[in-house]
Amino acid sequence: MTVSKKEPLIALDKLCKTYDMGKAQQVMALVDVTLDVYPGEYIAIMGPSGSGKSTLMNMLGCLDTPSCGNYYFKGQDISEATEDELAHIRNIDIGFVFQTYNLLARSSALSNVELPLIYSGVSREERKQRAQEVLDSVGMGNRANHKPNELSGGERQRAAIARALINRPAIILADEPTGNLDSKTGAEILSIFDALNKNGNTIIVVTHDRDIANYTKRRILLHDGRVQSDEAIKNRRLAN
Amino acid sequence: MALKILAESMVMAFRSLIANKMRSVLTTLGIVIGVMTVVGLISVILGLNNYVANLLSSMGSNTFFVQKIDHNITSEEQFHAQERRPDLKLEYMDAIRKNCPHVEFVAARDMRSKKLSYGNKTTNYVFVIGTNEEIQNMDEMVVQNGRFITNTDEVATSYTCVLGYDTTDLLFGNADPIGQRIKVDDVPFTVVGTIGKLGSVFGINRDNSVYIPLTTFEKLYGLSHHFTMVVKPYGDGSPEPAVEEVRALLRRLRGLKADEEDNFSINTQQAMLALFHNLTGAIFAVMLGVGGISLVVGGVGIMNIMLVSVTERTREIGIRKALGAKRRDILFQFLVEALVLSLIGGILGVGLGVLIVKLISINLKVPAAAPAWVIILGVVFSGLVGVAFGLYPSNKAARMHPIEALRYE
Repeated sequence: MTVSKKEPLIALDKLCKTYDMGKAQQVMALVDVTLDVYPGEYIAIMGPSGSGKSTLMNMLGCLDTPSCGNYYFKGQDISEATEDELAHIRNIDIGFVFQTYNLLARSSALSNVELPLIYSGVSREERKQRAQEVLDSVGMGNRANHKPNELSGGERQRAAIARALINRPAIILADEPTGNLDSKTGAEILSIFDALNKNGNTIIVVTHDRDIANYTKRRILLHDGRVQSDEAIKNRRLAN
Repeated sequence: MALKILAESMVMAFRSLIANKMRSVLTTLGIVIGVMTVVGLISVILGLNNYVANLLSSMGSNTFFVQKIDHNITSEEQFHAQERRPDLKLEYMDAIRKNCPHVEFVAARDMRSKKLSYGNKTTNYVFVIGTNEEIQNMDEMVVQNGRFITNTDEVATSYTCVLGYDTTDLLFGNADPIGQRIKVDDVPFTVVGTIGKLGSVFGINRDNSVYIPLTTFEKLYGLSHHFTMVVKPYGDGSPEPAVEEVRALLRRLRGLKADEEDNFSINTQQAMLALFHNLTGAIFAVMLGVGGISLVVGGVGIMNIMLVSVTERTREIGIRKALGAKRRDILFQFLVEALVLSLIGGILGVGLGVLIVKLISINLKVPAAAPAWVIILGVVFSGLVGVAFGLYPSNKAARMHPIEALRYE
């Protein structure tokens, strides 16, 4: 990452998103959102159902473009980027971790993890090697050839995290990463996030669970599409 | 890089198809049947065309045939009407020899089926062929023992006969038949010769035969509507001058007025070959139509299944897009799947088609083999069908919005 500490990785400037539900009915999912994300941060985005946190995550993850306002990613305004340009950013700079893992059921863990590299045009040997390495780093090295249905929930999420990491992205976006896991496994996953953040990775977690948020360093609270509060976490918890 | 993605896509496509073996097989069925039919039939027709051309040219390429009934009649009424025409007469042959300077030989054949016997051996029905000396110039007959029918036999209407290969074998085995007396339909004949193996034409065994002088044949049975004069013009050029001489002569001999049509039939080989080509051409066209429709059906099948597949894999498409797949990556992925499906169908179809051609060739004794261009065309066309019909579903997949796709259950 070649962004200096003074410049934010992500800068949202009066961002808004409205959805057309037909017949002049418009849903304002996000209104007037302004915030900065600096490299190395560990952020929790929280809010009740309908608060717009999923929409915000989609914006941050370049899965969608804003209706108004600007999105600066690594200093560049991508508010009106094309689909292909967004796809490219997602490929090399965004790592997604989903609540339901979203692994391809017919492929092994290794094949799942190397998928982003296929779209980056990396050669076969290099892909396999890097995928194995990153699986090792999350403790899944010896399970690389198993298919998702042969893995436990925790193992699947580890594989998903490995997939998110493989292209060394600028940010990791996790949507309720422990939502489908028991508390013990959830804690394991959060400790991985801890370690990743200590290593310099920027992590944004979207969650409704206050306990999870307490593991992060900064909490952004959304309400009805607006940022209600944005403050550092005091007395944050450390995972084991 | 595009080549790498192609290779990757092919691997992904194979995995996907193998995961749903039954569905893949059923999907390609339309293409398999279409290609198989077209390849099989085109090859057989080509083989037939070649075979007939060779057969006709073995008699001399400008030989033509004079018969009572036309070759190309299509209905029973036509047949009965033409059967009522006055018969051709043996005297025409000498008349042609004397009056047609373009004609080199005139041979003739007629035939009936009768049983032969020798001692206590009896054959089943064999072809009794009345013919003359000149027929040897036109046919591939080779005299193995003794001699063939001669002019002298004709003039004398002698009761001499020449045996075909299988008939000799059946009645005499290894014994010498020359000079022996056999009975043709209970009429005694003397064997003066045997001929070599001729093989089968369209499944008819030409070696189950006995040849007797045409005049003797006429005396015993009369001429049938099969009676054919085989006329060979001088040289290798067009038969037309000789044809016109013979036509004019016959019209005169049969008392036809200038405005009356021929009441006999002259068939040149070009005409027969053209007729045959017309026939096979019609079958050819129908077959191409059937094959084409099959390919379209197969294509629709592929499109249908791909649409289902795309819907089923909506989530997967969303995941891939989230990970950075561009529209063209997704389009490519599914298009390659459609292509692989159709190519497999095409190759299978070609394989089965070649097999069918071999089977037909062996069983009908018609030499036919699938030519290379038919095979290549079959595979290429199935590939095109796959791409054409796979385009719509692939496009649908490519245009999916990642967020909605990820939400799909």
